[in-house]
Amino acid sequence: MSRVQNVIVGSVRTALGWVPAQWLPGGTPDPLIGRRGEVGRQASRLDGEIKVQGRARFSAEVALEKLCYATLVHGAITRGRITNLDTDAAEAAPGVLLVLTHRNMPRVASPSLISMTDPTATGNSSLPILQDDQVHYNGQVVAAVVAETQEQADHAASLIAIDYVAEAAETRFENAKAGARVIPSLLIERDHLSFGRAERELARAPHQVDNLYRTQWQNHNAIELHALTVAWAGDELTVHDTTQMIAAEAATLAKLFGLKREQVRVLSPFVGGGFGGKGLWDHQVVAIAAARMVGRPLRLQLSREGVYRIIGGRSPTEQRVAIGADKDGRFTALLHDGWSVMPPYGACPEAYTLGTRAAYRARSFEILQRHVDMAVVPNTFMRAPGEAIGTFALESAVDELAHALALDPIELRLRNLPDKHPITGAPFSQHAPAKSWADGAARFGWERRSAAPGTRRDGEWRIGMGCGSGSFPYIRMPGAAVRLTVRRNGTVALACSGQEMGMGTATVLAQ
Amino acid sequence: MTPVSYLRADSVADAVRLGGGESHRLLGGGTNLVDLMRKGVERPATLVDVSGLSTQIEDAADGSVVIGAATRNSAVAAHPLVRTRYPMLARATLAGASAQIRNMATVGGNLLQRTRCLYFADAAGSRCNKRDPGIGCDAQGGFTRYHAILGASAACIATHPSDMAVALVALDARIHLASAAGVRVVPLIDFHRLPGDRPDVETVLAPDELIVAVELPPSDVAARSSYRKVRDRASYAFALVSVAAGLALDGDRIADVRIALGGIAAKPWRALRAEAALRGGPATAAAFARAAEAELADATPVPGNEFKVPLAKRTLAAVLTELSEVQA
Repeated sequence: MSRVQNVIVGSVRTALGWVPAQWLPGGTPDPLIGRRGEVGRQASRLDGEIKVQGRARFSAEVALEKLCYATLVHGAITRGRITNLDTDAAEAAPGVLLVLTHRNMPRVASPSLISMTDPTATGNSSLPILQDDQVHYNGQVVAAVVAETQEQADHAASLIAIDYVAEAAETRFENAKAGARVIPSLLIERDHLSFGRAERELARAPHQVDNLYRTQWQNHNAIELHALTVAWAGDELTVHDTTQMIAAEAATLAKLFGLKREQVRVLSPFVGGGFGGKGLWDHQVVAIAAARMVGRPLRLQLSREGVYRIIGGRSPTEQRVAIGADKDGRFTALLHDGWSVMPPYGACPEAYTLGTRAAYRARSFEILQRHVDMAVVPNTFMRAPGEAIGTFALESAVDELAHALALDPIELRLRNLPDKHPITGAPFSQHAPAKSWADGAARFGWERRSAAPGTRRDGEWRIGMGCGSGSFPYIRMPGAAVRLTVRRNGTVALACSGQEMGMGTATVLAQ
Repeated sequence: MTPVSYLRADSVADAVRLGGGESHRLLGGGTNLVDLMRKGVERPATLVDVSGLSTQIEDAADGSVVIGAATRNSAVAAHPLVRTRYPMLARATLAGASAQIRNMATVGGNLLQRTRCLYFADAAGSRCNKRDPGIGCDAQGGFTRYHAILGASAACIATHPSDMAVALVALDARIHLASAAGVRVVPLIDFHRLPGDRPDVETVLAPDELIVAVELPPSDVAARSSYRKVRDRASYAFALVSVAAGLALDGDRIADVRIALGGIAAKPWRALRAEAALRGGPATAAAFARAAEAELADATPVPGNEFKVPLAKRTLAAVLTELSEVQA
C-alpha cells in the first residue's frame, strides 16, 4: 500500500501496454470458452448425498480420542489495560485442564497482515494474541479455558474475574472521520485518482446530483460457526479448520509456531459458509497453543457472539457520489469519495470506488478513499468487498440523475457507457453492458415500467421496477501449486489444495 | 452457565406454589430468559416451567376472547377468532421475531420479556440501572437508536420490545393474574410501569403472581385496524417505531379510535391524547397529523434517536390515513 507499489504496478502496466494483447493472459477471450465440454452442464453435487445425510464432517465434528474443549473469554472494555486477573475459581472448577491468559501464553508472533504481494500473509489483525495486558477493542480475546467438556469450559470461563483500567477509545465513525488517513494505494490500484477538473466541471454542469450514501457495519454470519479441532503429534500439527485459505493458513501457522511447512497440515473438506470471514483470526492461534500446552487434541468453536466480537466484518462507509451531466445526460464529472474504517492493525480497505473507475465515461473524475481508525475488531473482506456497497452508491446517484433529467435510467446508462477505460484509455478485452441492458430490459418487461414512483400497487404493496449494474475487479491471484501425475495405466491425477464453501468445488473440478 | 434447578408446573395452583421465590423465574418459551441466563443478566436458582399451562383460545359468553398465557405466539396469530375479530393482533404478532421464535414464545412471556437495550444485556461491560439499581446508565450517551422518546427517566431510557403487546394495549386487553389469594384482573395499560427511579420494577406483577390469561373485550374498532412496524430490516428486527390502530367511522367522522405505539417507551404506549383529539372529529389527514403532534408533544429524545419523534408522528398519521381510506 505504498507509493513504491504504485510505481511498480504502474510500470508493469505501461510495459504490458506495449505487448500485443494476445500474448497476455486474459488479453484475449479464453479460447476454451467455446469448447467447454462438461462445464456449464447440469450435474448433481458430488457431496450432496453425504451433506443431506449429515455424513459430511465439518471442523467441529471431527472425532478424536481424548478430545478436550476450549472457550474464549472476551474483554469487556474497549481500550485499556488489564490490572487484575483472578483465575483461581476457574482453575479449581470441575474438569478444567488449563486457564490461558497473557501470563502463561507462549510467546507467539502475530501473523503477517494480508497482502496482495505475499500469498502466505493471511493475518486479519497484527495485534498481539494474548501476549500482554493491553486491550485494543471490545471483545478482544483476554483468556481461554480448556476443560474435559464444553460445558465445563464455558462455566469455568464465566468464573474468571478481570479488572481493567479503561482508556479513551474512539468508537464513533462520525468522530473518527476527523483523523482519517489517505494511503497511496488501494489494493493494487492508486487510491487517489484525479482526471480533469471534476469539481469545476460539476459546478458548471447544467444537471447535477451530489449525494451522501451511508452504509452500516455488516457482520460475518455464516451458518457454521468458526471452529477448529487441533491435534499435535510431537512437532507435527494437524488442524481441522473451517477456513477459506487452506494453504496460506498452513504456511502462516508453520511460521508462527516455528515449524517446517511440511509439519503442518490444515484440513478443511467442508466450510459451512465463508464469504471472506473464514480466514485466520486470533482463535486458531489460541487453540493451537492451548492444545500443545495440555498435550491433548482440542476443539474450539466460537459462540455466535464470539463471531461478532473477534471476526471482523464489512466496514461502514460514508460515500459522496456527485455527477455532473450536460443537457443530453452525458457525464461531464464523476466524483466518488468517502470514508471507511481500517484500523492501523488491520489490512483490508473497503474498496468501494474500484467499480466507479471503469463503469462510465466522463470528462473528469475525482476519486479518493479515506481510512478511518476506530477501536474495533479489524474489518475484513466480505462478499463482493467494496463493490457491493460502492456500486450501490454509484448506481443510486445515476438513478437520481435519471430522475432529475426525466430520462429512462437504462437510457442514461447507455449514453454513458465507455468504449475504452475512461481514465487510462486501455482497451477492454470484453465489454458487454449494452447487450446486458438490452437483454435484461427485454426479459424483464422494462417497457411496462412507470416512471412515476409509487403508482403501481399489488394489494397493500407498492411495487415498481428499477435497474442497476454491478462490477467486480478481475484479480489474478498468485498461482497455486498443482501436482499432475501421469500413471502407467494411462490415467492422470491432478491435485491441488482448495476449499469447498458450498460452491461445489469438487463437482466443478471433476467436470 | 451456572447450574439451575428445573421444576415443571402442571396446574396454576402448582405454578403458584412453586414459583414464588426470589430466585425463581417462570419459564415459558425461554426465548428471552434463556438468552439472558447465558449472558449472566438473569441468574435464577430455579426455573419453573409454566409452558404446560393453558394454551386455550376461548370465545367467552360475553363476546370477549380469552387467551391462555402459555399459548404460543404462532398459535395466536393463526387462530380464526384472532384473525377475524382482531386482525391487528395477528399482524402485530407476525411482525415479531422469527417463525422459529414465535413457535416457542408464549403470550405471558411476551408481556414479561425484558428490554433489548444492549447495555442491559452487557452484564460484563456496561452499567445499567435496570440490572443494578443506582449504578448508572451507559445507554445515555451511547447507541440510542432503539431507545425511548416517551416516558423515559434519567435512570433508564430502555424500551419494551414487544409487537404483540402494542396491539393488545390498543385492544383494551385485560391481564388475569393468579396468586394464592385468587385471580385479579388488571388492564394491560396499567400492567407495565414507566421506569422513574426504579427501572428494575417493570410491571405491577407481585412476586407471588403469574399471568394466566389475556382477555380481549369485544371491539368496535378492530374490524378497521392495522399494525405497522418500521424497522431497520424487513424481518427479524425490533421496531424503531410501530403503530397499532383501529378506527370506527360514522360517515366522515371518527366514532371511536384506538392507537398504541411501540418501540418508543418502556411500555406499549397507548396514545390516549391522540385518541381524545380525534374522537368525534373528522377523519382527515390534517386531523391525524394534529393528533400525532399532540401525542408526541412531550417527547424527550436523546442524542442519536431524535429521528424517532418525526418518524412516530408520520407513522401514526399514515396508519390512520390508510385505515380511513379502507372500504369497510
